[in-house]
Amino acid sequence: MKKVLLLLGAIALLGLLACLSGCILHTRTLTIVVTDYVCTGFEENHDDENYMDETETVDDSFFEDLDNILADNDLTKDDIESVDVVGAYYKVTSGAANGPWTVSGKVWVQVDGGALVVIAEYQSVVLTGPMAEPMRITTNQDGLDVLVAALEQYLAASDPGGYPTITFYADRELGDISPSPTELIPFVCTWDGCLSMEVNFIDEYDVYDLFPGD
Amino acid sequence: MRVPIRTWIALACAAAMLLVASSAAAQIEDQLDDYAAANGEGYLQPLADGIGGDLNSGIWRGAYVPKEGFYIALEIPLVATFFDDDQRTFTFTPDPDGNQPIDGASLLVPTVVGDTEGGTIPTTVPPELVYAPGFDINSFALAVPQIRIGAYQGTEAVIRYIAIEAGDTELGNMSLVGLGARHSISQWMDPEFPVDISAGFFWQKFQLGEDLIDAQAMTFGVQFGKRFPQGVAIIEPYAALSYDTFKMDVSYDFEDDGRTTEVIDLEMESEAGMKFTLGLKAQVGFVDLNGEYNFGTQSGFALGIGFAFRHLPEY
Repeated sequence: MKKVLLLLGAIALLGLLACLSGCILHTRTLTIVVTDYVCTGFEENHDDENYMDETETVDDSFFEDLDNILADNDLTKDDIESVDVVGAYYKVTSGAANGPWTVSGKVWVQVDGGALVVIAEYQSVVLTGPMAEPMRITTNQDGLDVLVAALEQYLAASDPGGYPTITFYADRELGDISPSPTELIPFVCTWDGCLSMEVNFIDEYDVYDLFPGD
Repeated sequence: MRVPIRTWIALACAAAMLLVASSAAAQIEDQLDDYAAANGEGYLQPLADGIGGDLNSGIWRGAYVPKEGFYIALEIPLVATFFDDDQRTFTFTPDPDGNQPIDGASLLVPTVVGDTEGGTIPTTVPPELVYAPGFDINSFALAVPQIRIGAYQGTEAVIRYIAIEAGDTELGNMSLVGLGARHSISQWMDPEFPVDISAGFFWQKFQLGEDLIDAQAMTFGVQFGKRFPQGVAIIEPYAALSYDTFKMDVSYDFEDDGRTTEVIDLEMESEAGMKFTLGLKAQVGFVDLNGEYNFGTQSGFALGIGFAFRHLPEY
């Protein structure tokens, strides 16, 4: 009788252990996020009322900057599930003296020489000189979609030679710098347009959950 | 050479606890490195509640304590607690000296047992605030072997001890030490008193990982039960009322903007409170099985099996 009870007890224990490892072990797929921002520098130098005709263009090292963000976080493109643009910012880095200046404008994006699409705009921003912190500005979904498509090309590219070319444009389509610049009091400044990136990567973990629920 | 049965049982018990708790250290630490102290506490609080609820459960497994005699039992309670929906999220606290969220941004983010999607909170200046994903866990279970020794004038002792050193692996070390005793109250009452009553306390210290978790649990309680002989078996329904406390210190590295690393030390406490237990135990020879459910701040259940050597006057 004692041997039977001992055997039953051992079977119960082994069954419990087997269940512990097989019945309650579940794989969880986690979406982990890192974030950083990439900036493009623009220069403004206007001394008359014709500033709306003057456009600044920058061919950006956008994807090289992304490569650096990944490297800083010990990631490679193969680890990436997706990359999203989650915000746009504006920051005067020098100039804008003899103000205050009230400025409005748009930033456009072009991928591989395609159509220009507005990606961000700012209205009635008052400038008195260099800014200590960037300021959040409004993004345009059409422009974000163009950039996201370019990001997908970037993720699929096997080397930097396959990266799309990103060009940003800044102009004054919305009209204005107020007061209007003159030769005597020109509007001169440099500023950064920044895009905040959210890089999502997937990682799997095995967790123990005796009652995992629905 | 044949390995003694007690060695197999000891190894099985250690493996059971190791399986459940060991990988938690590395997994959780991966997610914590984005969180400073205020958010680290919010993220980990359900884990503290789960560990505390588990450690303070499955200890007594009945109410009967013999007045005299000798017994020693190896018991393996499997304890589990369940997480509420409220425990799946917490309110993110921005660093007062850091980036601030924009007006109207949602600050409700996953805890360690919450949703598996990490994400960002939009801010007035870049970069956005990052929040970590959870592991989507509904319950937290531990298998906690213990030895029960008695009895002297209606008093027995319970001991829990496991120490596992995994060297330099990601696993880290794990140890659990528990000591407690309880005394039969009903032995001082009329022999015809219909129920067994005992009272006890139990203290435990639990450490996981290199310095990740250092926890202490205490429980004080009273147990009520009655044994019903049924042929070769003894059936014992029981109930218990206890007051449980638990505190947990957590230490991890926090990366500030990915540039500097500082050590974050958290001191966390589960809400101390009363717990009510209902259970049933069945003993056949030297083997017993029990199951109980706990109603309290952290609800859960315990299932246990025990193997005892007894030399009691009543047998």
